[in-house]
Amino acid sequence: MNDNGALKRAVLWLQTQAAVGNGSILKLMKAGLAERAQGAAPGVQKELERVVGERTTERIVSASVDEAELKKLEKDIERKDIKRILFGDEEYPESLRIIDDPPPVLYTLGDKSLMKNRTLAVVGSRTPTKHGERAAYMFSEVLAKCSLTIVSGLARGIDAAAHRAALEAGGKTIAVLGTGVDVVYPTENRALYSAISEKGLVVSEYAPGTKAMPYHFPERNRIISGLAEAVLIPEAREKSGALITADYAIKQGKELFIIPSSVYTELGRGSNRLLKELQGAMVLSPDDVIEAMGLYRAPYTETSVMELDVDEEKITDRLKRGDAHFEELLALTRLKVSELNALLTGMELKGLIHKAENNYYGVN
Amino acid sequence: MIATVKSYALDGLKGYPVDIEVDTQKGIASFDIVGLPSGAVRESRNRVRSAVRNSFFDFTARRTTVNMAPADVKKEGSAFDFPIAIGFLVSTEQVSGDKTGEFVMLGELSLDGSLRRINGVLPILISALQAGYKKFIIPAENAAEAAYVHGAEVYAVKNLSDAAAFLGGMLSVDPVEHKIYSASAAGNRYGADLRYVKGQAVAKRALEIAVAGGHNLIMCGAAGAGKTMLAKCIPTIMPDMTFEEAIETTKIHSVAGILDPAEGMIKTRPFRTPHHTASLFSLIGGGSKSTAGEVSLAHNGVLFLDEMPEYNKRTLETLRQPLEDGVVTVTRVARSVEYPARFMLVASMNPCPCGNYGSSDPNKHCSCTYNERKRYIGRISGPLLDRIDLFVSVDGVEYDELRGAGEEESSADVRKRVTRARAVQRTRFASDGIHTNAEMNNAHMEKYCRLDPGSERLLRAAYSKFGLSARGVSRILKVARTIADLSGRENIAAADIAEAIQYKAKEFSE
Repeated sequence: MNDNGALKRAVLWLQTQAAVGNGSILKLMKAGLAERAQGAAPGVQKELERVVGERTTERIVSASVDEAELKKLEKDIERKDIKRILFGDEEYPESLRIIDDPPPVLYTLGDKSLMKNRTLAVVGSRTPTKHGERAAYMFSEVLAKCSLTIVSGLARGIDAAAHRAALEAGGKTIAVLGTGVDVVYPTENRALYSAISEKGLVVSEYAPGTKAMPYHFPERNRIISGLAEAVLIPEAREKSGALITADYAIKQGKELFIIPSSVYTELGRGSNRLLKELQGAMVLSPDDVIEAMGLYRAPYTETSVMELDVDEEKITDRLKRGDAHFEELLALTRLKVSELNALLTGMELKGLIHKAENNYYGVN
Repeated sequence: MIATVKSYALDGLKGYPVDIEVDTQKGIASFDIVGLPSGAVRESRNRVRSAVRNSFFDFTARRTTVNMAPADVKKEGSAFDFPIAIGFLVSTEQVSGDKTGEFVMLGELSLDGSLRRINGVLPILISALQAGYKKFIIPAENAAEAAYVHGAEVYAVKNLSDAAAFLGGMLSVDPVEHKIYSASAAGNRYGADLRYVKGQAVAKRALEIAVAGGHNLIMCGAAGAGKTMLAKCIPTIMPDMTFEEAIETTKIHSVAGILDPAEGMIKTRPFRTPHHTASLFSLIGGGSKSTAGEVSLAHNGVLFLDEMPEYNKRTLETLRQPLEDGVVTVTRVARSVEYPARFMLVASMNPCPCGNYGSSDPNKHCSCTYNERKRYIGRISGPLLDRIDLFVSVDGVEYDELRGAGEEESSADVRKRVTRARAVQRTRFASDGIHTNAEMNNAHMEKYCRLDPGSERLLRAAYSKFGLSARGVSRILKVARTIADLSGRENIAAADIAEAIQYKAKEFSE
């Protein structure tokens, strides 16, 4: 099994030049036809038709073969240190092999061994409320410290918060992309992407260089849930991609965890509706996930044994009950504006609190 | 006979003398004006004819030629009506020419012979005085602004017949009495006072710091949060204008023709609020007459741009140069004119196009996409943002029940602190050629923003925690310097740095 270079190249050709879908490629591989598809003899064509149907066969037969281009692509893959794992390879993750429509090939960038870890997918809205985003961050941070590898999709909002939390907690994270592993989408997550490809793993079933297509992302979601042992949804609106991932998770027999959202926000209506159907999925703290997954809780480390002065304590006590406005803290502490400003900066720097929008402050 | 009368014209804020020669001969009736007259000047013959007749002088058919020297500069405006009329009267020997040479004359004529007010009297008087001219005859309506030009002997007359009688020695007119400048109680012109603004403690403090150090300021918040109300309070906490500042500002307003004729002097700091549809020329100055723009009208005061991202991007970009240099140079075909434009920029903006982003009200849900928001904020360019030291969120939340019956501080009290902080800066920068902390460059900051080890540590921690840029750090340093000045500290303390960090720019760009 050490040299399946021909098969790898055949798959790459099918993906890039014959534009055959990954489902058909998998069928061809299972039938042992993938390598013979290129420039198929009439006898082979019959077999192809039997496996993937007339239309796909037609496409394969009429597809051109640009060897130079293929060579260039493979060189690129090598140069960028992208690894290929084919369905059937020893390295191919068991968790994906057993799902309904496993990807024929995984292109990876980073630490492949992460796919063997215990994993939790964290997915949700691209435009979360600040509560949703904070919950995503906090759960991912705690659970990454419990040595779970956090799987997500590198999207804006919840996804990015989950990846970031895992990295900042010193944990591991896997990003499953709907583009080639060498394409950053959305571009504003470039820094996050670089960090994950260095310290974590980036995975995709699409050939390197593949641009974002709308239908890639729902397809990609089956890999997220497939790779994960359980799926956590901090917040999702109706028709959200996270709900698709939840569907896959249920089909694949994965555990589903949902954090409840406010009944007033549209942005959490999808996850709330799902929660109504699956009431057992509700989690209220990372401890619930830890218990359900039978994890060993990381020894609890106090952020630090910081001495808080009276005002700092007043403020943290108040913020534990929810975000508070500057004016409220002013009335609470009876400090001067300038003093409170300075105090809040100090607390921010100590990592106790954060500044939210519109002069609101929240506890970390 | 040829008569010569002195008048004055303006090129921007600088004046230059114009000699008006009037020659009348027997011959076919005509009235020609030469020496590059513009439309308004050419039309002056009609006003002059009527005014002369209606002042009961003789205007029978003669061949009249008016020459305006220097002949190669275009003459604009209506201020030459009066000197032309006097020239005609002298030339036709209806008025004695003995004394006319002593005066510089300015004024527009009405058909009935009365003198109308003209624009730019103050800058004309000041530059003519510098050029050695001492005596002036101007319209009575312009008397108020002439009162502040000490050393000039200004005679304000109501109409052509009075002027003729005065020149002929048949009427005695007292020169305009000089007035001593005193800044009028700041703010009462605007009817605003911080006392009436409830809550908004963070924002008020930001205003105080901004004004004390001359820092430009952005207020970010949803519509109706009170940004405009806060901005209107800014002039009420600014220190009084000095006489020099008042003169500088009045000159510009005088040329622009927006000076209150009764007041004669701008005594409160201007607060200009151009609408966001303002064109480039109206904001910066220029156009066919090289007029002063809003940035110059706001000289020594505040330029308030409400809903800054709504302005045309190119228009906003042109603000960079005056923000940097404190002057604008308006260039047109034949000449370029310089107007001072040292103003404090105060801008307000919504956090996103719909205005609800980050709102704490669960019923106000932001419907903008990430890209819409980014595009909206992206309309203000990085280089422009670099010139804005303070950022503050403004929101409409009130905490009356929490505060109890506390009295809000009045503008006058805040102004005292601001004035003190400005005085400290004036002394400090006496030999540096700058006025405020906001104007400091790197060399100044090295000299005046020394940090003790504790503050240094704090700034370093903030640098890595918040991912500050080098420019971000220097903005924090400048603001901290102002905060220290406000509390009368000679050295910047850690608390000053910490407070300044609360007003740092939010991450506007990715």
